[in-house]
Amino acid sequence: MLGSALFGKSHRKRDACLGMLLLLAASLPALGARRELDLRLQRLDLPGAPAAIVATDLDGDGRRDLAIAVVYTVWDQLELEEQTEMDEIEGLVEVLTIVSALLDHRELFLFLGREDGTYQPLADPLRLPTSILSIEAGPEDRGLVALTDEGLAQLALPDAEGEAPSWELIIEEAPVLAGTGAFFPPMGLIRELDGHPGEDVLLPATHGYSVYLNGENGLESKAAQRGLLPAFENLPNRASGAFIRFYPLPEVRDTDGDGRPDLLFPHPQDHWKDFRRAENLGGRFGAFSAPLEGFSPLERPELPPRSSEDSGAEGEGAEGEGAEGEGAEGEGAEGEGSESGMPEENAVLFEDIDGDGRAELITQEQLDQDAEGLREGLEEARRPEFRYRIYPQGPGGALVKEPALDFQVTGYALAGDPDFPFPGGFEDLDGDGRKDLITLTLDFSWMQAVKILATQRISIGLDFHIWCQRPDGSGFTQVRGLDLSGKFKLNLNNLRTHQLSQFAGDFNGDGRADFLQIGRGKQVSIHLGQEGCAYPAKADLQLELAEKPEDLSLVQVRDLDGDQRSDLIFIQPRRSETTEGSIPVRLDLYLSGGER
Amino acid sequence: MRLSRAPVTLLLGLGSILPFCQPPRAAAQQQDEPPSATHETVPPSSSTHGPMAAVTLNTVEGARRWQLVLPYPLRDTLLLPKSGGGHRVILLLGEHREGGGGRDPASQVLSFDLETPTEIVPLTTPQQHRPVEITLAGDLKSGKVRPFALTATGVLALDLDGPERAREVLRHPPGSRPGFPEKGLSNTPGSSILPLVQAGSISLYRPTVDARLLPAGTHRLPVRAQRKSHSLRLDSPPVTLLDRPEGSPLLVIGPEAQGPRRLRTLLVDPSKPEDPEPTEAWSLLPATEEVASSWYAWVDGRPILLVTTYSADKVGVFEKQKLRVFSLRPDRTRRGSSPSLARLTASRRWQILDPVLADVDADGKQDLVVIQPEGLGGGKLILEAHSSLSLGRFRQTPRKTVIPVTGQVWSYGEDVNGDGIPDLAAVEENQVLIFLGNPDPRKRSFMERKARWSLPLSQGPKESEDVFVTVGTGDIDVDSSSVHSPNALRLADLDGDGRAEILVSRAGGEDRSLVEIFQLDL
Repeated sequence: MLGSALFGKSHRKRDACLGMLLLLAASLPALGARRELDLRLQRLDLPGAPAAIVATDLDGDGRRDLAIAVVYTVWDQLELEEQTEMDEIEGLVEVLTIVSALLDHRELFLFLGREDGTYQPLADPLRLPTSILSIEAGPEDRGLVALTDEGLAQLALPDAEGEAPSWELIIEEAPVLAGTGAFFPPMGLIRELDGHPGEDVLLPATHGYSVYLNGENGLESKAAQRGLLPAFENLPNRASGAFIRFYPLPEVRDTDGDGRPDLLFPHPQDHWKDFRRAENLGGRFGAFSAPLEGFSPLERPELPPRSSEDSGAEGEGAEGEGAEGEGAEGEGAEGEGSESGMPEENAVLFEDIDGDGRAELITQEQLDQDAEGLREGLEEARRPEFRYRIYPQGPGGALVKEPALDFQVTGYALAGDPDFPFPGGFEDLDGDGRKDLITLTLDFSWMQAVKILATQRISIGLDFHIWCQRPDGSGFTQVRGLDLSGKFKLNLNNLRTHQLSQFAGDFNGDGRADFLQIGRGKQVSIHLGQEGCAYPAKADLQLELAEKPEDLSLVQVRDLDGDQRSDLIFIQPRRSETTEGSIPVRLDLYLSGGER
Repeated sequence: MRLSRAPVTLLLGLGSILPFCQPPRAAAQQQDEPPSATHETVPPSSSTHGPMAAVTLNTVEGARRWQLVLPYPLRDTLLLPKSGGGHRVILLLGEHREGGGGRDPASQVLSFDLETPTEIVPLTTPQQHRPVEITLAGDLKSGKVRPFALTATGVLALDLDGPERAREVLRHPPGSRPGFPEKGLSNTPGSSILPLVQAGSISLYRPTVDARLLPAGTHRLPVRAQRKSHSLRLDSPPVTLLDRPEGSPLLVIGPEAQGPRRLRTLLVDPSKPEDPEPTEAWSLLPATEEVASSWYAWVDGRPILLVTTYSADKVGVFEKQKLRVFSLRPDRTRRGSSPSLARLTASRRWQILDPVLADVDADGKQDLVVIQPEGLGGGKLILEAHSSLSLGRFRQTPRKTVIPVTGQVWSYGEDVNGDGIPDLAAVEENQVLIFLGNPDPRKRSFMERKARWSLPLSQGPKESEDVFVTVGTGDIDVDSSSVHSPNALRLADLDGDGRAEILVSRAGGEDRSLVEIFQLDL
């Protein structure tokens, strides 16, 4: 493994680093100027980096507006009044002490969307108290709601000009974050939970989750259900003397094909290796089940993997049983995936891969981890081999013990810590409703690997590989002839965790994911997704930015205006005269709507 | 029953669990005992409470030695004052991994009493209770303190004498996993309140004579929240329980770094449940520094904070730790008070620095003794005593003693020979060396540099090997895993004679540990 070679056994740092290597891959070189991409630029100045950018219809005119929360610090003065005794003065004396202090400020900036697709500031920024913990779009992207220390509040715009917007508490139940003073990006509280029109609310309460349904008269203020959290064993309650608590957060999606979302609670530390499911019973959720409990494929003592030769691999990767429709489980050469020499098949996902609405269990096993020397180890780190098995659910929801698909690929996809996710993985690239697989391989020399220990910098080549799921769901076919490779530099002293996906956004609105390249000065290149998950080697669209992005981790690709085409958000730090406090930023919005 | 290796008289607490089949004397057989050593054997406790422990008594030159073999790795020890006498009972919290699984092993509390040193009494069962922490609480004035154990589901009151040795007296709410607070330096063994701490809050309970826990208030803790991929992680700073001889204990929360130089400590007086707002005390570091370790103590009627720090600006591999001592006073300005003692120590980043509060010169005041290994490899032990200046302050220039001991395990502060002066015990290779404190305050060196006693430790086999034990009609192959180097040393007066005994414990693989108790011949 690259991580092992570079960081020894520090897996977390390794995973973080690998994650960042791949996240920062957006600095691939552009492949030549192509058709110009016409996006409108709008600039918004902010006193600090935005903590949340929410696109929602604030004023009910049908257009999406922007609500931007900024959390920043500035020097201010604290005035402290105290009573004290003083010599030769009888009684107590009032003393006023003024202390300079760096104080937190939170403000909400509101911008109304105009007909021409640009934004207009609405009044002065609204001061946010520390009791406001997060903001997000209201049900059906209408209005703005905030998670507060008291519950869920809705932003009310004033009727009369000159008045300030205000918050109205619509759900009264303290969340688990109450009192923390934290501020989070949108937490996904607004969800469709009951299958009826109108999105509902899933509130992370102190005891567990609370369900508030959206009825005929809007959001109910009384909880339809107050559910307990799954009792995961073995979660630590201390770390370095501090007292800690892991509060499991659910993923909300349909796993049984009934059209209603279920709750999935992955283990806070072991993730999909141990998860609980609560089925949707129609606006409320049933008892927890543990789908992996007693699932024998993950408990078997030995599971020899298939070799590349057996599965017909050539060069870059191999396709297995599902892809080729051949072979039986367990056939092939020996391999090993764990220190004990036993193959290590781990659950890494529970998601609908084949598009039938029912989730499948995806397991991953890394092969050929038997390199003895540094050179061999680096080769494994550059081009690791992974075996994936996809287990469907049977009629009763229990997992079928024989995988429906069993195949082997080259490159990283779901490796690493989920807190530092790789840009690869299962994603529907061609818009057919079936998930395809993206993997990455790396290219670097052992000299570079050694050098990084001293310089903390490395320049690494990387290449994307795509396995497209066949229309009949019978397996995955590697897409040949792709050239999405490039080089990028990484400074280990400046690791950032913000994710920038390469296959992010749909810039032409055809429903297929496009491939975005940012990081070569002012140039942005886009390779449009084609049928069969193909991507042209040469970029289809090109955009020249007004200014080079200062920090790639501060780039977002989102559909702000709701026209089904992606927009680009660049957060550009500005120069600050003070050395302490937050750095003001400018938001460069490149908005769709122009000629393509 | 027959051991194939040697015909020794031994005790096998075979019971139901095999890993314990290797008796303590089997290990002793493989060591180089002093020629004068004699051996007694003591029957093991008969127990149905899970894996068995056993105890043997033998004499070594200068001391009597009890060897306690426990069927678990030892996690913690606690000394329980025994009512009506000066004896203290040792409570041993062991982790029993077999059957426990994962990171939350089945564990057990055992007790050992020098007054009746023939048995190790289990107070809990690993199958039923699984305690993870133990502490003492009760009425200190009357000496009626009781051990309490924390489990994943609640709090157990432990009773050495009653018919029911472990009884659940409190059940945690669903999803709650509290812990006991840390203890301050020089704390007394026990407190009049029992705090349960979890991220976000402290719940206080007052033990009654009949071991009930009465709610005594709740205090909020500062919480920091992080969003993880599949969870929210809530963190509250460490909580320390400081005993105050003149009153109720004080809860101290922190230290929390606030910016590059300031540390915030919150002080909560649990006797004032009506006062929800804790007192803030701020400490100002001399430069941009990062805290490595911290301790709280109650000295001269006030709380103090001791921290070791590194430079936060640049990382130096061989950087020496800095020691800072702060008086904690209410500070609404948040400026932070400067340290009353600030010095560079001899300890490198990787070395242990051990601050101890003890009355070095027998003047009735607590002095600060900083114990640290010297040199890159720690070839000597440096003891530096900063004399008390009262009001929680200490003299900047210390009295220094360098003792030629190579080792990482020591204990200072208790009196082993009854002269009222704190002494030092240190493990060096396979022996415990005892150095006496120098009672003459005029001498610069406050410790003798030559060891008065050298007590031999049991020596485990270097490698894991098999021992064959005959049980009934068949042989059983038992893995005799090696006994590791000592990892804990304590001085404590167990028999109430005013002279401390020496306790040494070490892990012995994953499934047992060895505790040796030395009683000096004086």
